[in-house]
Amino acid sequence: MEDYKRKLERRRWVACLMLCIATVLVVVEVMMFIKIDKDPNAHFNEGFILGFQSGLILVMFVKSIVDIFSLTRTLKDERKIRLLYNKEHDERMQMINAKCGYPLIQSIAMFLIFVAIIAGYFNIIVFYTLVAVVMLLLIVSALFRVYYSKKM
Amino acid sequence: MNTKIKELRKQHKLSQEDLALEVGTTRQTITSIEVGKYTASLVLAYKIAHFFELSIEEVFDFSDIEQED
Repeated sequence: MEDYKRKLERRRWVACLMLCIATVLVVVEVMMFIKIDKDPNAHFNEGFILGFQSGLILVMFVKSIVDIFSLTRTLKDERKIRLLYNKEHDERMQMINAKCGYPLIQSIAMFLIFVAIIAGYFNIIVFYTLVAVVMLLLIVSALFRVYYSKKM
Repeated sequence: MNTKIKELRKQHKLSQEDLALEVGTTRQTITSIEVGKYTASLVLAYKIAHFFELSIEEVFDFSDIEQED
């Protein structure tokens, strides 16, 4: 359990680092929004993709804060550490995740979002298509997860 | 698969969460095993039986599997 405790502490540091990165990115995004706002030749798509990026950064920002608070609270209580350990190592949940292909879908979704943002600067249709694919993947995965959680 | 986990838990005055904590799993998994939706792995079955100081056969009913054979 001591190893797991150290792992949680490392996770908290990573969340702090992510929060710092997200804060810097928020500042950069705001500056870019101001720049686009002042540019009369700016295309709608540029603002749209920037808005999409801002949404992702905002999610990263909020998730980091939530993680820091929840991990700090967990690390103070031995019972909560054991509950979290059991939750993460639960064989039933691992089987459900494996059946839904959850780890693979998560990686593919992250990769496709990254590609979509870059592709969006060249062709907005590719951006919409990739985002739609990611949405579909996540919805199907979530539905399978609910189905297997009820079934098992 | 039928099990005697619920009866044993009540005898020992344990909640599902208490048992889950002792055997290293979640309350939801204990619920699923109790209602027969999920069949525990050998390791988890051993941990549960060991916790109640019984053998696996005393906790889990394998008659369904024996009939299939």
